[in-house]
Amino acid sequence: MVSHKPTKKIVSVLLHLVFLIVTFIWVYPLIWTISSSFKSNRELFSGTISLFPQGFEWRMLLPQNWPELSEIFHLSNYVKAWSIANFDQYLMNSLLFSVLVVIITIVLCSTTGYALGRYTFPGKSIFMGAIVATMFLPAGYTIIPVWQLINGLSLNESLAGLVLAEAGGTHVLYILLFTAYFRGIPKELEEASKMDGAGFLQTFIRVMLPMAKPVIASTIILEFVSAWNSFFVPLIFTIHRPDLRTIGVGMYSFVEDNASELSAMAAGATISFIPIVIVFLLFQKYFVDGIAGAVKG
Amino acid sequence: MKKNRSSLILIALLLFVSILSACSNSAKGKEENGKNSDVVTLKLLSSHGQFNKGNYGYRQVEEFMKKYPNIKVDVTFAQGNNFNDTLLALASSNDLPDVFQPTSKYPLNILVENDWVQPLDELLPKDFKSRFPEGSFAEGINLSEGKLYSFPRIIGKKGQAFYYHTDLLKEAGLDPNNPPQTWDELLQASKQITNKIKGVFGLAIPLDDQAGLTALSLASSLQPTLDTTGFDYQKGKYDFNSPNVVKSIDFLLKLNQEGVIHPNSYTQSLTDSQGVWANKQAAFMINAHHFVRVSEFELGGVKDYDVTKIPVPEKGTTYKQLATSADFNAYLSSTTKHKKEAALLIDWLSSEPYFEKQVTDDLLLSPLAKVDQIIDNDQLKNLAKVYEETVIERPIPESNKSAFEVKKIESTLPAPQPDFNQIVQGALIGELKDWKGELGKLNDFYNQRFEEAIKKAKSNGEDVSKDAFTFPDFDGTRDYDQK
Amino acid sequence: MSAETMLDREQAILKKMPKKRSTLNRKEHIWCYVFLLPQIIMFLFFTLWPIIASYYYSFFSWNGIGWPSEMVGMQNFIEVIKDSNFLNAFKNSVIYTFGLVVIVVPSSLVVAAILNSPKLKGSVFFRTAFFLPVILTMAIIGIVMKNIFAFQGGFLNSILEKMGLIDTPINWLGNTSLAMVALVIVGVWKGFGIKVIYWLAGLQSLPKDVYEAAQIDGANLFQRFLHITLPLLVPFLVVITFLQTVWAFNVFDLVKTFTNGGPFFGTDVVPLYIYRHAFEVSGGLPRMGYASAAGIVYGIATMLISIVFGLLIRKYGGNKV
Repeated sequence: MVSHKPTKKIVSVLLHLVFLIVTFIWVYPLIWTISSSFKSNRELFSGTISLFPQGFEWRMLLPQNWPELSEIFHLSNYVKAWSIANFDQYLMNSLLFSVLVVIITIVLCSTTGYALGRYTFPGKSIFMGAIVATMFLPAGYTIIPVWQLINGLSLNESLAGLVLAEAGGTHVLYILLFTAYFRGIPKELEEASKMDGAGFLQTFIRVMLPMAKPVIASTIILEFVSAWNSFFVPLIFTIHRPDLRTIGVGMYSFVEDNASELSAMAAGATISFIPIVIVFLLFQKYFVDGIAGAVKG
Repeated sequence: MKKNRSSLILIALLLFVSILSACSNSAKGKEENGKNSDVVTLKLLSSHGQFNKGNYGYRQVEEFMKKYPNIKVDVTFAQGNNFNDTLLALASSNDLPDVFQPTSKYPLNILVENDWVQPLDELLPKDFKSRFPEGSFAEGINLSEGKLYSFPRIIGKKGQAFYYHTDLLKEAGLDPNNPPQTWDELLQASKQITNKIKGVFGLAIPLDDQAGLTALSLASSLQPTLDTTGFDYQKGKYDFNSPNVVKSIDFLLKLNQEGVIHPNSYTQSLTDSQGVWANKQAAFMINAHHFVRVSEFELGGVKDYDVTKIPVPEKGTTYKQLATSADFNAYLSSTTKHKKEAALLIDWLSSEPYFEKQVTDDLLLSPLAKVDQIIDNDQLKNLAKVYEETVIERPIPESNKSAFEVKKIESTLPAPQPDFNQIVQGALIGELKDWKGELGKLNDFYNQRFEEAIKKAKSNGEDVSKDAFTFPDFDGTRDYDQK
Repeated sequence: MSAETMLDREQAILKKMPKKRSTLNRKEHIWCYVFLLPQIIMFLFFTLWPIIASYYYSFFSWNGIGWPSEMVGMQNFIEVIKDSNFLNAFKNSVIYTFGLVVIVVPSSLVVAAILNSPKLKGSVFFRTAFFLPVILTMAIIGIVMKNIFAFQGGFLNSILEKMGLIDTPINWLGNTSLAMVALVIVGVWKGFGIKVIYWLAGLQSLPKDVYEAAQIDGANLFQRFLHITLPLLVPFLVVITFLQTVWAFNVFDLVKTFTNGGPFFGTDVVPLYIYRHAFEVSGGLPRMGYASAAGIVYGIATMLISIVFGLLIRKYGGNKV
């Protein structure tokens, strides 16, 4: 019995070590991007594997040597990406776009989930059947009709059109989440609210929605990340409108127009990654819960 | 109750604000036109780097706006595929910019066929055409049915040239003043450079989009009647699988085998490879007239390089090439609401001072013959010399109205897949073992498509046949007499 | 007043009130319709209309400008099925999907199991790290990876050479098979984290008492895993495999920015093929009708897969906890 303990410990230490190494490799592409954004173009072309820009010495981390550090770290890449390549605008566009998409999604799916989850009414099964049917129907290239629709509404010049193209349609996952959640709220709360004289809408807003905070949080985070990372729809709708481009399309067109600017590309990529990484780290609990809830449902 | 209402109001307010900000984006553009009714806003979409922010063309537009304070020009620059996607999206949403300069994917016949452009005759000064040298305007190139659609932006006689780094030659022990002139010399020099200098290779060839062009450029000395679209004007048909082209592809394969082509080239587009060359990781590159200006203004100012003719297969052969078609020409869109103002802009962009300064400030050869005497940039001077010595004017079948119709119809028929570039790329990366067979198939496809276009034109009432495209006494050794 | 007494009071009042059922219900129904209205509008315009329209377009030869006018019937469909490039793209889609599923599904389970075990400290840290690639923008990842996998001067080759694992750089993106390998590697890296979360959700939903009973009976870690965990996880296995398959089958962003289908169509996948025919000009004008038809053919394939998985879920999903 006693002899087992040391081996168990060794195995445990080894396991942790292996995982640490794997984790480091796993996140290295992000680290590479950040470290490349501080290097000069020429250096990147030469295929360096060092973490720090050329000329770096550890002593530069000392405050008295920071002026030297600022010379080594090519912050000009960020200036290039931010103001010259319009990444500041792309960031704003992505933010506005994502927020609007999230708002529309929540409004749509919470109301739908509420009606579906707590009430029966004539036509309910038809509605649900239609949604399920369209989920399984093989669709052609639906982006073209959506493009036509947005054009027809004369919204092709605006962010509103882009938001509609992304948020429009049927978000089955979130509807399911809200439906399941609202179904689980006891009827008594509704009745109590009615006793207070609240109508249908007020009950929904004052009582039910606050109760659904976990689902709302999960929807927010899931849809926000999805909208932030959206590429295909923004590509179709904003490739010809540089002022509307979101971060993914902005990056893509930047690389097209500035193919040999590797370090500026890395700076642009870093600018694009950092916000979403921060948001994720802060709200990961809701993210994970949302996804876990999704797969269970 | 109060709380109820306030939260409702809050939600409504939030929605309202966000929708407002979303619409403000679109309103901004309309606002400018609406408020100041005497300020006209023009949109210029260019695929040419000259109009990128801060570059020569962009600065000239700023000067234009100073001269005409009631005209505001929105300049958008998009390159290559970006531009193509953009123009298509704008065309399909009926939102073409007032003036645009397309890539070579949109030559005159496609623009006219789609009704995207309109003639400029009525809008430009009467002496406009006389600014340019004889032969600058031709039916099918910038005239359609006698009407003027565009003007040359760069010297008429241009083509491909051979760009080389003199310092790399020296470093490898070669004579920097004696660049390779034959295929064999090219192979040997490339080998020496690749072996002697670590991390540097002989050639940068962007296989992703220029593999075919490179092969045709090399073959040009053997078959100068073959142009870069694969069409042979003496034979009057496409000739992708001519033995000369095959020889040229074989030579590329040999270079590949010897490992002298920069490995990243295989999957690179032109802009990527230009970066590789500019970073002196490849010594040689076959490229077009824009490379001097790109090297200076967009790649950080390349030093210690020069320009010469493309190497020929054997000593004694003279290199000759057909003038490549004009690109990045400015057109007036058919749907513009500000014809007069846009015409003013086009006039400005084609004036003598504009072209004069273009040579000095933008290192681009001017289309006005008398101006290119003032070249103080060495590489540009040598480039001009190369063009003078090697470029030949080709016959222009498109000047025949019926033949132009054929070209228009041809552009609407489907394209082959794989295309010529993909075949050469496939051959070089070793994927396409039977590239010769594929080449034959490709050639048949092109010729069949060509014949179908002729048939369709005939059925539309045009009196045309292959003869309109065949020029038996043109042998590629001197300019074709346009009559 | 306590909650219970309040409840009693309400119930007493309710029992006494005559229920005007019809008007009460009708008011509720109307509210339900009001609540459903935005979604119904969205559904009609952005879900139903696009599907119907895409079918309509597929019968025309249309370049995307204006409205389709040149009816060609089934010609597009026939051309799609006969096109060797389409079949090549289809083959690549299958290879990519297969590679992803076969690698990700089992390995993410193993990692999830380890993360779930109390023996591993800091599991939240590891879980976060694995999940990080999932939230990064796919399109930008493609661009970054294009540089990391570059033949000459790419980070991956440089580090492999420095570690002595290879003598000469590997031509990842210039060789059709290697490009597919690179694509699968990045695809695995990107989607791995989310599958781990799914498995964790599954593992955490398993009943603990069965394990305790097994441990008392003397079963070791391995046996417990094999005979208890795996069978109970089967419904999750089906769902996770299904999700991974659909995700991989529809990959676009990554391929577009990483390899753009190259080299020489070696990584061309169907969504990219369709996009190319719908939006990219190549010596002609786009062919939106044809692209729609290709989309439908692909959609049928996806539908068949969904049906297969749907049946599997029906069969094994019963004992979901």
